[in-house]
Amino acid sequence: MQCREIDALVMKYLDGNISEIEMELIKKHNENCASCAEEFAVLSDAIYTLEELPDIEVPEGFTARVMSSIKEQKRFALTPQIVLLWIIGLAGLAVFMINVVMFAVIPAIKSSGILIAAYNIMVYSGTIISNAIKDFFVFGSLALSKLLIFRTILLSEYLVFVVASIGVFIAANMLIVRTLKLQQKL
Amino acid sequence: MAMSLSASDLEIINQCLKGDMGQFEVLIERYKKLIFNTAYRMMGNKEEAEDVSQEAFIRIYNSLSKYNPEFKFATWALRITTNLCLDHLRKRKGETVPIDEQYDLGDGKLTPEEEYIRKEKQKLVQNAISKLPDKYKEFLIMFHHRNLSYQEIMDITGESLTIVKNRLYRARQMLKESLMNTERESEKYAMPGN
Repeated sequence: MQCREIDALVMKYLDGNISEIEMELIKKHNENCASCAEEFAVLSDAIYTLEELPDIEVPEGFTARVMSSIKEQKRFALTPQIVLLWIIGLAGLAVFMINVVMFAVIPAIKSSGILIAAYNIMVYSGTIISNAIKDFFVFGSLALSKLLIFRTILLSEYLVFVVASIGVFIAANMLIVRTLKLQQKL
Repeated sequence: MAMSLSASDLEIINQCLKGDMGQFEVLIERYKKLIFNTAYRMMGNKEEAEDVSQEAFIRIYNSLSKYNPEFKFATWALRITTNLCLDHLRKRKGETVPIDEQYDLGDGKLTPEEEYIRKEKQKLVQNAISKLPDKYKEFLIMFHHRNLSYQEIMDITGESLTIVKNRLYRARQMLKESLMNTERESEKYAMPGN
C-alpha cells in the first residue's frame, strides 16, 4: 500500500470511524515504513494530548461580571423608547431655537442698526469696485481710439513718405547684398 | 431566578426576551465552561479568554432575538465565540502573547515523572497549536478538543462538509509537521556533533 493511502486511513482513524481491517492495514504498513510509523506516532499522540487537555475552571465571579456589564450597557442602550425621547427632545429644541431667532435675534439685530451699517459698507465697497472697473474701460477705449486716429493720419498724410522710405530701405539692402557677393567672387 | 434549573434553553431565552433579564444568568452558568474553555484553547491564555468569553456572552444576550431554535444553543453560542476569537487573533497579529502554563493538577494516578512528561507533551502540543493559522486552529480545537461532530462544526462555521474535512486534514498535517520539526531541532541540540 502507498504511503498516501495510509495517510488517508490515518485521517479516518483520527476522525474515529475506521474499521478493524483498515486499522490492520495501517499497522502492517507501519511495520515496514519507518517514516509513516513516526508520523503516525507523533500525530496520534498529539491528537490524544489535545483531546485530553484538561478543561480549566472558569474564573471566580465570571457570571456576575457578565451580568453587571449587561446591566451597565442596558443603562446606556438605545432602545426604541430612548431614541423616541431623543427625537422629541431635539425637535422641541429646534422649535425653541427657531422661535428665539425669529422673535428675539432678528428684531434685536434690526433695532441695533447693525444691518444698516453692514448695508452701507456693502454699498460703499461696491461703488469703489465698480468705479475702478468703469475707469479701466473708459481709459482703455480712449487710448484705443487715439491709436486708430494716429494710424489714419499716418496713412493719409504721410503715405508718399512712408512708401518712399520703405523703397529706400529695400534698395539699400539690395546694394549691400550685391557688394558682399562681389567681394566673395573676388 | 424563579425558574428551575431544568428549564430548556429555549424557555429561558423566551423569558429573557420577555424582559426577565435575570434568567440569562442560568444560561451563563450552563455554558460558561464550554465558552471559556474554547476561548482559552483558541487564545492560549486566561486573561484574553475571559475577555473574549465575557464579550461573547454580552453579544449573545444582545442578539437573543436573532437566535434560531433550529440549532442547538451551544452551537450558536460557539459560533459567536469562535468568531470573536478569530477577530481578536486577527487584531493581535504581530504581537507576541504569552501562552499559559497548563493549569492541570493531574489525577494522582501518575508518578511524578510520568506527570512531568505528560505536562511537557501538553505544552508542546499547545505551543504547536498556537502557531497554526487561525482558521485551522479553530477546526482542530472544535473537533478534537471540544469533540464536536462534522455537522456541528458545519453549523458553527457555516462552511461546507468538504471545507470542514479539508481544513481538519490540513490542520492535522500542519500540526504533525510542526511537532516533527521541533522534535528534530531538540535532537540537534541534545546531540551536538552528531
